[in-house]
Amino acid sequence: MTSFAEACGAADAPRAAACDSLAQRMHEEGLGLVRVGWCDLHGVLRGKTLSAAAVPRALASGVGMVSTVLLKDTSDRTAYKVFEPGSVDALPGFGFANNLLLLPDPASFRTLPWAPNTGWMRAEAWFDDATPVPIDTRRILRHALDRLAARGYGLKCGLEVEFHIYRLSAAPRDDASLDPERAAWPGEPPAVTMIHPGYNLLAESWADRADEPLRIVQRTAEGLGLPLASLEIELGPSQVEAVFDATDALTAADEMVAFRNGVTQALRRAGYHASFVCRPPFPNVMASGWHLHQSLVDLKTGANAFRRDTPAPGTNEADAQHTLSAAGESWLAGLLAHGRAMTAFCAPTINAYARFRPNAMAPNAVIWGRDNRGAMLRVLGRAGDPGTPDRRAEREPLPLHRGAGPRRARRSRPRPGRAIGERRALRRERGAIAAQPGRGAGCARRR
Amino acid sequence: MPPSLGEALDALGADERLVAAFGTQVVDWFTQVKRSELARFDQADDKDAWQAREYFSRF
Repeated sequence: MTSFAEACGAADAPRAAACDSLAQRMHEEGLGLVRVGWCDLHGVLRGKTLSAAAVPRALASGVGMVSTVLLKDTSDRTAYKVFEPGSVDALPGFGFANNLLLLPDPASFRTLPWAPNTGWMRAEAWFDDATPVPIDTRRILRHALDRLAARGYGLKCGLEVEFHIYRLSAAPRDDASLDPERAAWPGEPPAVTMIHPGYNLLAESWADRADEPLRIVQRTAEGLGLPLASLEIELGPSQVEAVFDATDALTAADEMVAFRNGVTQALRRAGYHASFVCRPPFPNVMASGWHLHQSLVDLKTGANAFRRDTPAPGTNEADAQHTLSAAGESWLAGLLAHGRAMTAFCAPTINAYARFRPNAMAPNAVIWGRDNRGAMLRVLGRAGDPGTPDRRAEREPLPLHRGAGPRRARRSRPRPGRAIGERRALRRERGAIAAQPGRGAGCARRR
Repeated sequence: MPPSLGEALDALGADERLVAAFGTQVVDWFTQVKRSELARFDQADDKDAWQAREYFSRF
């Protein structure tokens, strides 16, 4: 009889080997529970916790999950009236709160550093007829990367994650949000104090005050196998930043999900509240952003496809091809052309728009610049520069999942226009264009 | 850049090439879920308290 995993086309030899090694590891390490995690539209892991005995069946047959979990907004309310005829006609396979199946990937198996004897596996969502569920964010990213690979490119990303850590005012079990008399949908936020007072950017003494929670962050990230490079004290009160080495885009997305969800859980156990919301609800708070470093990799040679050895003839620093290859310029043009539309994915909550203010390190116009933190896109490095191979273009804030990409390379390829704020180049041109941030739309204009 | 989530969703829907790249189904699903969030926010009396419960507690 064909198993569900086989019907999905997932049951190949490497998966069978991963299932065997997982079974052996569970036995050797005495793991009693395994969580099956699926990342929802909002970046939150959902799923079920399996007993060790149920794991082989889950790997072969999947784990049932009600389909409304894919239709929920940030408060956990279902955005579709699934019992009313016609309400989910646009989503074939959904309706009447039917079941979907989560098929775990045994290759993603890991143990959780903060939870004793507990394993974890990532899953993707399938309909019960073994066809893939299209509104699964990881699958959307995979399909975009497949289209990119068909053109000979891979995407490499580096994460920089700003977030806030607070200390719970009460013991975790006495938190007001756990008072049954006050339960609500959604519930009250916890009462908190800060781990550092802020307004002392990168101060070592503030890092020392925050040492205990930052060590939990470090242990959690490293225990999950994430390539953590640094932990930093940010400007805002109780705000910190974690920086990761660049990896391929799918790995970076998986790592972001693992980091955010893992750090939140591990800190909570120790009496802290981690918040990845853009602007926590306090006066004098600094909103968090994040930066996504992007570069394309030539899949044949493994080389950085944005890099060029020397500036293109006749260009100066305000021209993209002074620094970037033709492919890099095209990528930049695509990000600019779709910058307005991609904002909904990059800033997907009401709260996120609190960050867009004039004269802040958050962009309010679709423009690019060189090392200019006021621009939506920063082009880093120089032609022939071996030092920043993975950090060529930066977009702020981070797209959850990218769909904009290179406009098709062709003779009339759209061009990104001039960099904003290139003083040296501008001086040479005697003010040929003005460096006015308000001219953002003009900057994106095609030449 | 769009200054609010509602305007950002409008801009997303208006970008035909991007909608085609993601697929109409994906964009419509994302937009409907996000419009649900916006509709509840618009009805809230205390916007700050709403955001504290909706986002700070859970994200």
